[in-house]
Amino acid sequence: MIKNYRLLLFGFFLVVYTLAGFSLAYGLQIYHNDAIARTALGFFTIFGRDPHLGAIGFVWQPLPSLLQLPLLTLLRPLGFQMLAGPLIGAVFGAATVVSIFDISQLIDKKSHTKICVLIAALYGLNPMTVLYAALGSSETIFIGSLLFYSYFQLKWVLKKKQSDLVIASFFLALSFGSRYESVAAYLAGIFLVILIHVIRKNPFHKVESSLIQLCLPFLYVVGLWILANWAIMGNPFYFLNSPYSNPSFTNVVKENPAAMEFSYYSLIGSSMYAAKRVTLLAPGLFLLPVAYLSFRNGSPAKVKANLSVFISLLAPYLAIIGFHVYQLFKGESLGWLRFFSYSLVAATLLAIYLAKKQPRLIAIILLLLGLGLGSSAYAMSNSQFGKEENSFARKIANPSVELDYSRTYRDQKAVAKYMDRLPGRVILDTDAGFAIPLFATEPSRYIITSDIDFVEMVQDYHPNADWVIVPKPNADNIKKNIVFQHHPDIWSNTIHDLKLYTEVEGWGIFAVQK
Amino acid sequence: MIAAALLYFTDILFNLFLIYRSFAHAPEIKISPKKMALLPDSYWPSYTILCPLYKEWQVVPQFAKAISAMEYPKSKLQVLLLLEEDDALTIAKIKELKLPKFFKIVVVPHSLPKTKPKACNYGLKKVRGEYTVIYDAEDIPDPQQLKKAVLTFEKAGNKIACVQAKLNFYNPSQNLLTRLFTAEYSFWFELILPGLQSINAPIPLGGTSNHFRTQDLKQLKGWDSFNVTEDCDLGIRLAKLGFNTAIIDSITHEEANSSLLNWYFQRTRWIKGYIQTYFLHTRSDKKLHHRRIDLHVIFVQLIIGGKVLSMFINPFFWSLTLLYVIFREHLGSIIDSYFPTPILYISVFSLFIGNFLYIYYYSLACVKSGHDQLVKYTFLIPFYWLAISLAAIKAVIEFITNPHYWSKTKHGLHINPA
Repeated sequence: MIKNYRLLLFGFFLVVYTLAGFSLAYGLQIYHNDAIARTALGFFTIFGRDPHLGAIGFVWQPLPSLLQLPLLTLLRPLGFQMLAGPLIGAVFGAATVVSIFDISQLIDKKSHTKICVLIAALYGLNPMTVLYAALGSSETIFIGSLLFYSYFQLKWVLKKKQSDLVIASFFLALSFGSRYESVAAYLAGIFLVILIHVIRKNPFHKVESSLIQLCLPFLYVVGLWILANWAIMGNPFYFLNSPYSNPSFTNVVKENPAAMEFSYYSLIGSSMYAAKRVTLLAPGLFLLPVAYLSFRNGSPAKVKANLSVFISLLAPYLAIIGFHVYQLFKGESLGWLRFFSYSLVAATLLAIYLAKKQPRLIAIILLLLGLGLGSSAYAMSNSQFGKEENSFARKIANPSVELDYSRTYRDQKAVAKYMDRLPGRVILDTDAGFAIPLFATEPSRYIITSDIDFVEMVQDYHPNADWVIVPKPNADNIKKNIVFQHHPDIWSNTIHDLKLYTEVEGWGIFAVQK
Repeated sequence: MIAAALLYFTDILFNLFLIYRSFAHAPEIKISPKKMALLPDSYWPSYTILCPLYKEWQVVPQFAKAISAMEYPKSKLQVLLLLEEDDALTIAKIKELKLPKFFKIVVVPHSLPKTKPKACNYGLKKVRGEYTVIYDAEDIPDPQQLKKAVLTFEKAGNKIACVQAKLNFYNPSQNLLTRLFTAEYSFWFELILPGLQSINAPIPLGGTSNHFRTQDLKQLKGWDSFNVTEDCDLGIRLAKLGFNTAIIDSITHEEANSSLLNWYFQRTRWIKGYIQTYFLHTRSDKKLHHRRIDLHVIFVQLIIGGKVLSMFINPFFWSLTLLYVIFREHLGSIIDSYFPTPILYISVFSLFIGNFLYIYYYSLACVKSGHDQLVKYTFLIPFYWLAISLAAIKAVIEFITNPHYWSKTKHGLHINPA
């Protein structure tokens, strides 16, 4: 008889995700932009020419890169630095599955334990969960932080111990370290705290103190982020309005309306776009009305208690989906399928709740969760829904296929290997080529964007560098690339001391004439 | 600079550890009221309450009322009001009051040093209770505290030589100072001391509500009459002799100092006493080494030394940060040269995370002690720290020039705030 389900779940999924991560990174050489960029940022912090913590970057949240620092230190000498992200993803992914089981135990320790293990395992085996844990994406770390938060917030709701709310507040703050969507979960948290105090008829000063304790760590982390942007980049909102920010990426899409298959600025269009993806990823959410009916009857105290648990479980994740619908409506989201993967968490928690409260529905619950595995796989392999995932699926199905994602990194790897043969210092704006130093044998000879003196080096390259490498100019990088900004004529080969040496996979390698 | 940065960083981690322990293990000893109710009056041993008083006759009626309200057989109680010979007014005023029979007046002959521990040592000779506790004259103890202390001694065994009740204030909302003072006391008694108890570290006792077996106290030869924080000193001495101190889940309410100047002088004395205790116990470490090897020495360094030193390090680093931001062009490179990269990261962590954590701890402590309404005031705690640092400067000067001077704190300001 198995006694420690937590250990079993953690061990099993850690192995599954690690093996999957290793296969993707080193077998198929599949990398995800979001994940590899964060590995690169962590890498520059330690192995760059100018190692400093600020190299972690100030556009994307730093937690995934920070978590990878110790692993990068260990894995780089072994040549396995690309495994740092997947390993962190595997740990967080496995911990997430355990958290789902822990939440079930918190609701009721005695009943249907094995069913809850199965529900947690079904979440862990969902192809969306497996793929993003194996890729080491920030979503996995984010969902992990949110589930730790959910666990302690639910514990606070059930056991009324303030220390649980405090721990929850720190996990909520931690979630901001990986993704901006945490703001939606934070607002949902405020709503929940007020609701719980209103239900308990507590005096105002109790509400006030709980809100301060919930909000303070989150707001402080946001404040630190803004301060860091201001102190290092000279612009407190660099993460929002720099050329590297998310809104600037969506602007590129907006300039090409044909690329959008959904309607920005239409509430119905955005909602429908989200609804389709949520339905495919999490058909279990169809049980929401059943859950409502399940706690509607009973004594007022019981209804309130059930309502508290129900809202506590679902509010953060439904709020994040609402946030993405709003972002779509505003035209500031690329609408990736992974943005709706929070519905999968909500459906799983709903299933846990119903398994405990309405055990006669267990068969339907398991059926819907099982169906979710298939429908998620369908969404991921369909280019209409899984724009990113579809390319991964095709590459997994046929490793010889060349796709944009793998091609990008194959090109950068080729550039890195070519540069390994050329001695001397290399100027590179890592905005486009962040993976090049990551693949390089000697990354410290690269003068990169995060170096404090990078702009000076670009301006005065002659005494400071031997090579300058830039991609072929296009509408996007011509504005962002700092080398292009200072030397717009570089590709015309008319700069007297900067001559094109060769081209490698679309990259120009320019030699500084000494 | 490196030593200061490392010490401050260690202090942050140590406090984080203590707070984690205080929440994770709830080390305060809880005694069930049911259990106490079942025991007959004959069960309870004799108890002596020592109450040293100096020029604070106004609060005596409140004290007499609080003690009379204690759920303890009055035939087993002996209350000794320790009055100073030269305080004729207090002696006269108290004699006018109709005090219960178990209250006795003890007049302490005039001599130097004129300190609370000296009065307590004098009173100790007249103690006839099996247990002894000290209360300040403005205290309002939990009515069940004596019973809880007796049962704690019985439960914890001979290893425990002292039971410390938690202290808090009955006038937290009088003004901003009392609010912040209450937050600080909550932090100390709700989070730090239980954390220290959980790791069997020496506990700097609070000045009141320390319960002892009289026999142990006499063996210890009472208090150090020359130390101006005799409570802290006694806590360390107990640890030296291998005894532990237990914290009980019982609160004594005191008067929070509501006058800034009065608070300043009180704080100066406390810090001076901590400095005295630190030097006293670090120059004669042999017994500490003998009993619990180096761990206890480290605790004394952190609890007493770290606490005092952080009062100086805090404003120093804040000033340095301010100078760096304002005069970066002129001073930046000089300041940079004192912070090698690892020390810089540690210092930045201490500045941004350490200071935040401390403010957050105060808010936790307010909630734990039931003072939810004070949580919003904890944002002002850095100003309170600044005031403590100013008191620390005076304390150092006084430690050199007038080490045994006891600056008497005025009590009863809550009765007549004007």
